[in-house]
Amino acid sequence: MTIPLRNPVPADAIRALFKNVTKRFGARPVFENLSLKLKRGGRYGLLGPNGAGKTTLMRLMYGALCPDDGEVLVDGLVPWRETWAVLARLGVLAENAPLVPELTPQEHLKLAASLRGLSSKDFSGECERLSSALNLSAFLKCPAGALSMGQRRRAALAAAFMGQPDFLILDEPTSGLDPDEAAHLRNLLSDLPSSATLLISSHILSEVFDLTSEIIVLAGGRLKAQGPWVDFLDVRENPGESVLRASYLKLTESGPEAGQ
Amino acid sequence: MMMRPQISNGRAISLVAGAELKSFWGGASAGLAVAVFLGLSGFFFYNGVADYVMGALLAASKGRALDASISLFSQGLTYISLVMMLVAPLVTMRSLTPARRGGRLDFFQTMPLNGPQIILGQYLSAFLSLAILIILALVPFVVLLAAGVGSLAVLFTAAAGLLALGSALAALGLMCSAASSSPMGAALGALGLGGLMWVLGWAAPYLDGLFGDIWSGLAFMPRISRFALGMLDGNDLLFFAVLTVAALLNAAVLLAARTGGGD
Repeated sequence: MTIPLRNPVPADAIRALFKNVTKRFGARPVFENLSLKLKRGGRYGLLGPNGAGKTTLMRLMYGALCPDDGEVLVDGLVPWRETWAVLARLGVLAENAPLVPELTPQEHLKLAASLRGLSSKDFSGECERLSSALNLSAFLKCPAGALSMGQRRRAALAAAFMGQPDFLILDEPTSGLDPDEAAHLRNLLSDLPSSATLLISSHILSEVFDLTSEIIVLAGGRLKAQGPWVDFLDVRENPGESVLRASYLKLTESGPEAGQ
Repeated sequence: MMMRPQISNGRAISLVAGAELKSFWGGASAGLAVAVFLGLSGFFFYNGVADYVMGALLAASKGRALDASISLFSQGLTYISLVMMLVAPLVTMRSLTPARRGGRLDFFQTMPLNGPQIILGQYLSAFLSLAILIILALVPFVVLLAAGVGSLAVLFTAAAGLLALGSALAALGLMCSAASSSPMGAALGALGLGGLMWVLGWAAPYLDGLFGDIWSGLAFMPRISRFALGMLDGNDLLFFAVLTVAALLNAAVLLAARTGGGD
């Protein structure tokens, strides 16, 4: 059963806008004067070394943080002020795949469905779809606190996908997943409609390469690159991890800021 | 294209409360809270009965009767409030503190919920959990009532007082949870605040003038004593209501500050 897209946005719409955004934790700036745009239908890979601000950027986008300077808009809305309106459009997998330890994955899915306004009938269909796609059946009714990291991540992913949001923000979605489980996730992501927007971060470059068409590279508190993969790589059919890593290291270590 | 309507605030709050109730009562904290609450309440109740029996025998030897509603009923109900102060932090300590592995608050922040809905849902859950503990602790007093000891009016006013205190303690606990970076810190903070407001009641009579009036006004103990004696004073209920609202507002401000500002 296909559930029609919610909250339709115009073609070529800017889904997320960062305008001269600065974020500091104490005296330490995570990034300064960061500007970028995510368009409707875009598939973006967010890359950068540890501490570059990938998770911070994502948290700014879904309203868990607000910037110290500058402006962040998602579909024209300010995330930390209009939290419901923004999060109703987003499917978010946060860092560490957060879950309530005493609740089961099924209870998390039911909660996510209820908060997104799904009817019981729609929930049943969605639960079955996601349970099958992410292979949750074996532990659907086990408390989240008793699950392995991979199982938690799959359960949290299912909650993020509940209701078929058209803007997905996934922080390290394949971390802790075995190859088979990662393949399930890739299938799920490949089923996304072309108008859906995806922002995904991962340390596995080949995976980001397979799932996205554009990269955003953060390093040293700056935006080092944003654009299609082909702009930053020697074009090959299947660049291996080593080729990708060489290009990535070049961008993060000595590359100029994006736009220079 | 199908548009899904926004769910109401009440529905969002009740969903959070339902999840939190399942979480609390499905975890180890509930067992500990029930054991401590009923254990200590039972201990004080037993001591009250023992004291009453001794007192009644002494009074009878002098040809007088001892009023059970004061010596047994009211004192026992007052002690339940002290036990509740010790146990309430167990209920609220994990609510708004950050978790190392990504916990409840991080999960709720990825759902279509705003800060006030999260806080009110957790408050409702904490209050209902304390209400369940209060009801369980009042069972011995219901038995006494059935045996002709004590007064139904006193039981009702004491229950109202305990629920009002429970509401304030739930809110104070959430405030401490929002201010703290660890559940233990949140629990100690809530215990300290509750303890301070309890101790104020003892110290207030020894302080003169405005200072004494202020301390007396902030103290828990005189108000609980009045409830336990069957006096339902609107000012006392208002005090706990105002304290609840103030603590919840502070919790919201502290949670917003954790996002880095948010106005």
